[in-house]
Amino acid sequence: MNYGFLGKIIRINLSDKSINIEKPDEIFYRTYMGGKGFIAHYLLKEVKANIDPLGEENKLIIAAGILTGLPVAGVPRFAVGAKSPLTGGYGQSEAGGFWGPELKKAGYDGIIIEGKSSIPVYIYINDDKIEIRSAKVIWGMETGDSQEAIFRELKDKSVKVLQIGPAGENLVKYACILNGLKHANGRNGLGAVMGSKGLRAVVVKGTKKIPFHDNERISKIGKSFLSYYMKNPLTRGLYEYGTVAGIMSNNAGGILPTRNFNDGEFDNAENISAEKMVDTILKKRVGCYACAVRCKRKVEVQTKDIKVEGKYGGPEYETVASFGSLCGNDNLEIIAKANELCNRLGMDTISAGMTVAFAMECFENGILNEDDFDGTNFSYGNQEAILDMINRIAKREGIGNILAEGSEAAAKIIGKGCGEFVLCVKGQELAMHEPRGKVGVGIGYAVCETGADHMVIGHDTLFGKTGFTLDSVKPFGILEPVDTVDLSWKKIRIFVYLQRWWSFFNMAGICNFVPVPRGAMPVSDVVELVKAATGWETSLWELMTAGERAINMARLFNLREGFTSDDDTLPDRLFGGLKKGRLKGNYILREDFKEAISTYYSMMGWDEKGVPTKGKLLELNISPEYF
Amino acid sequence: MITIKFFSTLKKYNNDKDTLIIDIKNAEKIKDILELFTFIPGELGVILLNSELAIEDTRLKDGDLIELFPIFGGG
Repeated sequence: MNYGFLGKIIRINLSDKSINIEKPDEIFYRTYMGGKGFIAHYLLKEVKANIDPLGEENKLIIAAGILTGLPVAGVPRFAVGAKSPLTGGYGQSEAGGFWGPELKKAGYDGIIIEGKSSIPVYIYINDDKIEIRSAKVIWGMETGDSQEAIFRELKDKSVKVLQIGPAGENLVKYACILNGLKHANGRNGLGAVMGSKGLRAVVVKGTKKIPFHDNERISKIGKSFLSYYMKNPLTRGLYEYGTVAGIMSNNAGGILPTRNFNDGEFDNAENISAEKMVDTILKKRVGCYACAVRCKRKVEVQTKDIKVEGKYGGPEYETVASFGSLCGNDNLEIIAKANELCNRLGMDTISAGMTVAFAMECFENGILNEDDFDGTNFSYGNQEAILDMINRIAKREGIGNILAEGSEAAAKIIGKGCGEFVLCVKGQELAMHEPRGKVGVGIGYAVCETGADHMVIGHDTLFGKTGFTLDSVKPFGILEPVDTVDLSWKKIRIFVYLQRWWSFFNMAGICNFVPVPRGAMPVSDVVELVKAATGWETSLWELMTAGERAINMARLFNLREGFTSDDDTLPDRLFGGLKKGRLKGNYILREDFKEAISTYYSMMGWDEKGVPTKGKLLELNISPEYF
Repeated sequence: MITIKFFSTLKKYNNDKDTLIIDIKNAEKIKDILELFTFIPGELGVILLNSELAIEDTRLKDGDLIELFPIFGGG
């Protein structure tokens, strides 16, 4: 009897339409656990080096975690992976919502999708019945319309729809995958991989009960969380104000990305603040499967000029910053519309906002002009132009066709020295966090296998001084505060420990807003949940090691694709001073950063070129067949 | 007179209101003001004094504006 996992993975080949069920053994599950572990395993083992990410040989891996679907807060997540068309390396992105638990209720831990269909299709999984169905009718539709059409076709509104939009069909390099119209596997352009396979959606209906080893213990831990999460300032804040609370806090600290990371402070930040959202467009606080934190927002706008439908959710911090301060836009309704458009069309709001901001800086510097934008002034703050450009990118119209390639690739096409306006690592645009005030986030951007990503560790502010967040990580041996701009070995030590913790979250299906340090659930309860779900007599050590294993396997994939230590760096702009804000003039010293990366390599058991040593790989039980 | 502005979750320490003006004679430093409230250790993030970054030991004078923001760790 399996507990926590189902022991079944679906393999579907869209070229020959074959469908098979694989049944890995328990050792496989205990080694890779799910999410990133599965993805790294299958990509390393089954995807040949240097293939075209949008070709038939790429594989799309959808992987739930070992805890996904547990009836407690914070474990709704699953990950999607493939070779990324945006970075050319290891591609992966997580999402919450309700789709992951539904897949497990249908009896499966993951799906491997191979090949390429000659006609548009969608996959329908209804417990034991798995079908490849024509998507001819829904191909070309916006996500809301296609979800309705699927409901009608299947005569069932309770199915969970994971889908791409027109942007994915059009192979926009930062197209996302959405479930429930608002929960996104946003990053790395995995929607384009899905589109390249002619796969519009994966629809799931599950009616089975996920088997867990000790339901009483799980219920006890879940109820305990409910008794204290509103007393924790971080989880309480997530409920009351959502992630958007970060706008005013980061702005006050001089670290709100503004005007394409030129500035760290936005003059009209209060107009796009969480308080403003609560007072104006917020309709409801919503959340994911079984989660009481309800950090997500449902917003609606009904004005003469702008209409935003609540079914597409609402903008989170990343989106408010990327289409707000980053683009010099202080209109929250326009941001809400930009978020809705990205969810209708299926695009990552971070990379889309970053690419629009990049184009705005090109315009401000005369590299692009009004002729490039059909007569439109594309300066920072032009609100209507932002919305128009989202449509153009998704449909690859005019200059939108160039910007659909991502800002780094677009800069190479545009030329004229605009590469200095690109804020990417390994081809992926930075998230809305400023390394010149949170240097650990910069380390994360530099070394993350998916390119610039803010979900690698807890951010520096959590450990910058004494208090409840620092107390929460003492079980890792992190005992003293380290300043937010300290790049010494002390920061790297915190980084390597918490990177493993975060990596394990991904493999387990855990949202980082529930466990410490970003959430409230103590380390010991997380370990207890794994024990109660699986029946394994496990430990923090085993879980952290699993996280480290997946980090190393993803690293191996990137090394195989030709990435080197030269790619573990930051955009040049961050080695120069912030131009405005309370941290004006703050910069990262290039030599200090190089030293920090070198320290990171050595702490990871990697050589000076960032290559994992044979001993480290073997110690992690990564057998020689992987390297 | 010192004006204190509370942001997002910190408003609960001021009856869910944004602003508090207090007339306090003995407050030399920001920490003397903070001690009037029952903040959870670590709950305060950025502190601004007259729009400049400040710390708990920053000295006060009459007419100052203190702005208090909760800790934020990524979103």
